Amino acid sequence: MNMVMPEFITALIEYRFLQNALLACVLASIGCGIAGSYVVVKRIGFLSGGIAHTVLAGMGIAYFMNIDPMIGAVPAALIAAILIGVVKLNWKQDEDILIAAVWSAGMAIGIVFISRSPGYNVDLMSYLFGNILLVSRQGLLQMLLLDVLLVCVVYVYYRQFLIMAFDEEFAQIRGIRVDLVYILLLCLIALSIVLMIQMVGLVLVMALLILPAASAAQLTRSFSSMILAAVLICLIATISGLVISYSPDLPSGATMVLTAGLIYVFVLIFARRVRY
Amino acid sequence: MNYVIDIENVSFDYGAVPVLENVSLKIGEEEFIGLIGPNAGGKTTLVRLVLGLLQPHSGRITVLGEAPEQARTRIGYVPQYPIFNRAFPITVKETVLMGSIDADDHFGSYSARQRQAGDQVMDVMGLHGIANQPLLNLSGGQLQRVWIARALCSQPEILVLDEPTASIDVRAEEDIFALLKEYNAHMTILVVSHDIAFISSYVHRVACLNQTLICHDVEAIDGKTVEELYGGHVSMIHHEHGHA
Repeated sequence: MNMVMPEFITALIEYRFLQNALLACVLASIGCGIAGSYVVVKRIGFLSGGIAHTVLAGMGIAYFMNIDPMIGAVPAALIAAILIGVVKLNWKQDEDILIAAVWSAGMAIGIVFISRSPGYNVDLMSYLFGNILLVSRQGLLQMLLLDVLLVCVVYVYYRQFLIMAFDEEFAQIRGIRVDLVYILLLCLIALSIVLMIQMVGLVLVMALLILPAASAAQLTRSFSSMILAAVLICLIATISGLVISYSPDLPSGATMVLTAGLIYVFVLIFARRVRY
Repeated sequence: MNYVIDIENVSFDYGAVPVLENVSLKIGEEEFIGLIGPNAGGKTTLVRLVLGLLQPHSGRITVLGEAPEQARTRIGYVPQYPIFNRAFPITVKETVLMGSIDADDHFGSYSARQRQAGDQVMDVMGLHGIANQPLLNLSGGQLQRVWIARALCSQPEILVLDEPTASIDVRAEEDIFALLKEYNAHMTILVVSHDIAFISSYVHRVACLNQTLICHDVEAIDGKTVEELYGGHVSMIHHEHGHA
């Protein structure tokens, strides 16, 4: 670390792309901590994985049409969230199979469209595994917009999400439209997935969504403090992942995920009984 | 007479398995009624019908003069096994306050009226000392008090409890029923139990459910009734009637 830090800091001052990457970590961590907390308490990790992978369909179609794939990712994520939400609400017994089907069909659509696109398909790897060093100004702006949207919706619907996430049946008796609130929550998770795709890619999104929030759940005693802790842990994991990966030129997304995993293991071992 | 809960000729089945057949039950204002019966006798199903979580296949249910889906926000409900993630980071106070949330409640903070109602039920249920504890740290009995406080926090007109004392000891059970008795002064209470001996000293009337329903005043319960209900496998339990 002593060797790594100074080199990273000199590079940070010098290179624009590294400043962008650092800013991307901050922006992604906000969405990741918020959405991840809901994913963890509602235990919908698999379902979120389904949404993340289905996004490749939208990115592939956009790529084929020569539009920025990150723009195609937004509608694809929302459609996937609604589709998977409807499956979950109506075909509960076959949920597992249907989500797996949507997951793989989405990826297949994406791969077919990318293969039919003119030119050299170098981008496929960066969709799957992300490349934070390639985040553009436009990408940052999109992340910022998604963050603002996410924070606003969670701010307004905080208690509706809370009661639905805690006890769906009780929420229903309180007169909450549980199905609508549920789909809205999945849409938010979908947007946060888009937020993170540039950083870690759609394959590794799930880990970054779950690990910081699961660590936060161990350390907190209220849901609002869990969200704050999850954002903070995500920030630590992504920035240290970026720093560590820089000099040895490791894949940044994978390094971030491993850092988040290490934090989770550390929290599980040492901090089980400390709750703030 | 206006009935608070009016169940008329209700039948319900899960596919080929009939659960309720022609069940009728009228519950009056400020009544404290016990619903008993063997396991799989349809008790929880009937409760879920009253809450509008299930629809009857025939017959009609009205609650406070409305369809159950409309009226259920005025019911306080204590489920038998609340399905919740034990690792959910949430305090006792937050959980109790959740009981007062309705569809129009937005943003993070509760109104003064909601907070006051929350403080009051936490007082009554003896939860003040542990208000800021996470649910994870609670014993079964404490947790049960949280569920009851959550149900009472909306200041409901009807309280429905499904086996509220299944997971706690007798002493705590007595405390809880004594509290319910106080609430009964201004609230209709329907309590599901399999423990006929215990509840008959608190309730006004007992409804015995095993697919069909037979109602009794507590005085009328004898060995024969119990035999009919449980099919003769249960030895009679002596109980004294404390009819209020």
